[in-house]
Amino acid sequence: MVRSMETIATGHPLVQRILDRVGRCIERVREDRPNRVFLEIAPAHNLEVARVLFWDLGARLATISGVDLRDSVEINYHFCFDAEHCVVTVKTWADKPDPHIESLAPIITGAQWVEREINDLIGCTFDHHPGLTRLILADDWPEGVHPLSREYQCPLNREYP
Amino acid sequence: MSWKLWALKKSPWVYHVNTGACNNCDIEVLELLTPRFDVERFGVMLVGSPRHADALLVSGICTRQAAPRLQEVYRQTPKPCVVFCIGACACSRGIFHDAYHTSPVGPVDEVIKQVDPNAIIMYIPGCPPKPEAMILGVVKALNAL
Amino acid sequence: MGYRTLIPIGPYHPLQEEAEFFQLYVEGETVVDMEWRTSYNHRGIEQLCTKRTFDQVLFVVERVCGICSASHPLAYVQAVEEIAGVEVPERALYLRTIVNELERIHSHMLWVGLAGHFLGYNTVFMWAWKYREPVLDLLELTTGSRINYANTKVGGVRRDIANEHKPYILKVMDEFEPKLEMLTKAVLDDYILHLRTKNVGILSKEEAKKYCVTGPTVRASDIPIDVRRDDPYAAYDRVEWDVITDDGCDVFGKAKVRLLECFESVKIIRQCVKQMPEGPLETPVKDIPAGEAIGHVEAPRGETFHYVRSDGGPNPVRHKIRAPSFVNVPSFKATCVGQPVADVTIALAAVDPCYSCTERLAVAVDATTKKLRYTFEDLLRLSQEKTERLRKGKEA
Repeated sequence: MVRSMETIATGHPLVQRILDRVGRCIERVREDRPNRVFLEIAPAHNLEVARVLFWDLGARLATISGVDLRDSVEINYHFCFDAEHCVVTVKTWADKPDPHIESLAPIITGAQWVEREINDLIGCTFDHHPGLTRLILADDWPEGVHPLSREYQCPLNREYP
Repeated sequence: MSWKLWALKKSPWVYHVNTGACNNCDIEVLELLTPRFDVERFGVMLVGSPRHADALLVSGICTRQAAPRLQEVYRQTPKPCVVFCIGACACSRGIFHDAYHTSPVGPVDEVIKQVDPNAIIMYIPGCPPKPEAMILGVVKALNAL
Repeated sequence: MGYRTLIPIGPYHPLQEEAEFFQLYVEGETVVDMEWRTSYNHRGIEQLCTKRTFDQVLFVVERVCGICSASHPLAYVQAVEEIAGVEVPERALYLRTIVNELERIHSHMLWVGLAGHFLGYNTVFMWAWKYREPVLDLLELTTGSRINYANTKVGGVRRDIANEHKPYILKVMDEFEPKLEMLTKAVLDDYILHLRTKNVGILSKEEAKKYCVTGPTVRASDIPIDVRRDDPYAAYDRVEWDVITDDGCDVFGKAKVRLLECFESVKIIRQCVKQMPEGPLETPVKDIPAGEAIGHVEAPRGETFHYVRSDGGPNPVRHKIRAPSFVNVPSFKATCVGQPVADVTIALAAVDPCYSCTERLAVAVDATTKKLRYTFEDLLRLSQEKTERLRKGKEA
């Protein structure tokens, strides 16, 4: 997948501070509306960008969400900058099949449980996670079946008009 | 009527089980204890163990993980015992009827019937049922026994 | 003042045996480690949301958690409104604020009752839940239901408050405030409660940052984060109120923050009722275009975070729901390690997990033999017995 190297001029002063620190890791910046910034980065840089945002710039990791796209799993790291009144979402990708990405848990303790949840529900593996065990699915749920992945068809689902 | 049933009707002791609910029904059950509704004056008491219970108040859709626990709790409750399915989730799973994590056996009544086909089950629908509805349900159930 | 009767009436708290949610490892009487397993309540809501239309998702999302039943739909609706680019009318913003603050009061009162029960103060439990009832009546008056409100919709609200109801709302708030003051003094001035809750369940500022906690849990560790001020939504930037923090970092600090927040909520509700302008209740919304957005609100327990993604179709493609308990409850690991077993229940209750999570609480297992030492019933009993011992020690 070819990703373009474009940086759009932005309005929020916070974005300039982020670009000064880790600008070389960031492929694209998008600010659709005030106080919501979306940064796209390559998967190899996720640890470095997270470290800068969390420890140097004082953000709070709100959560991590995974979206199963056709050929990759998109991982969004949502950082809340409370003092600057802004939510910065860092987007990156893990290619399928067998998506892997570096875990944030060694630097941010709060990422441990949500990464386990994404591992259960979408199937993305987080390398160097201290304990990537089953969190949210039942003990007798079959291995390798991920409810939020595109391939999963729940036998009970009905289509509503 | 046997003396056990007479004692149950006079003062049913209830044990509450949550098999995967959103807490609404559970809070309404606890509200029954509070001074506004105060079911203790009717002899209904919430106990801490199913071995002391006459009735089970079950809420929730009965997830895969919770189903074996519910069956175990039912086995531990001395018979005769009445199972009250509180709320739309316990009656028929409600809006979660097509969720993937529900027990393949079925909603709460199917799970209980798998253990005991002759179980006495009462349904109190609502989302959540108001405390008055729950008291009415318990009274109707006890009168019908 | 403050008539306090400490009669242990026995554990009313409905419990479920054997289901392990937290596994605590103990050596002697001290907790050394904690493991967390959650699966009992997992209903697969995120997957259900992709199979429902945008307005049907609202009813599903309401039932994620019963106590935060107004916060989850509001966060979701805010995200969808961002995608659709909809401007909500001002009267609707004030109505949303009123319902959310009433929910905050009822949730904190619920918590005070449960915390009192865990400590063996069953009178506090009964009082707190009794004084909570008028608030639930107000919610029924404004939205039609005590708990599942279904008041918010994409673009506005569903129901209005009639002008003749406004004096009644103010009257209930006026009657509620002195009772709240009495309860606050009874809880915060009690010597035994100080012994049970001060320096118990300490979550330091550094740990609070590492675990990314939110809500009263983090405000009691002297970090002033509040979504209502940091990213204002509804009518919070149009009324005057304060963010309550405490530097105690312990259970007492958390209790203080929650009780004082109730006073702020009463203040906000009064201002909203008086300042609410006339106007339409909603902006009609036709289709939701493709896009993604984030909605977050300050639920009573902390920040509720929703991420919604749409591709222009009738259903959301992805709806990520992060309830506040999901980040707050792991911080229990930091607060319980090193604590005596009798303090475990109150340390967990201070984090304020959703009630149904509290119910299938903890069992304590011996660290070396891995055999079950205490069930949740035992832990609760130990906590209540400790209060009794302290009370007798004081009066002896």
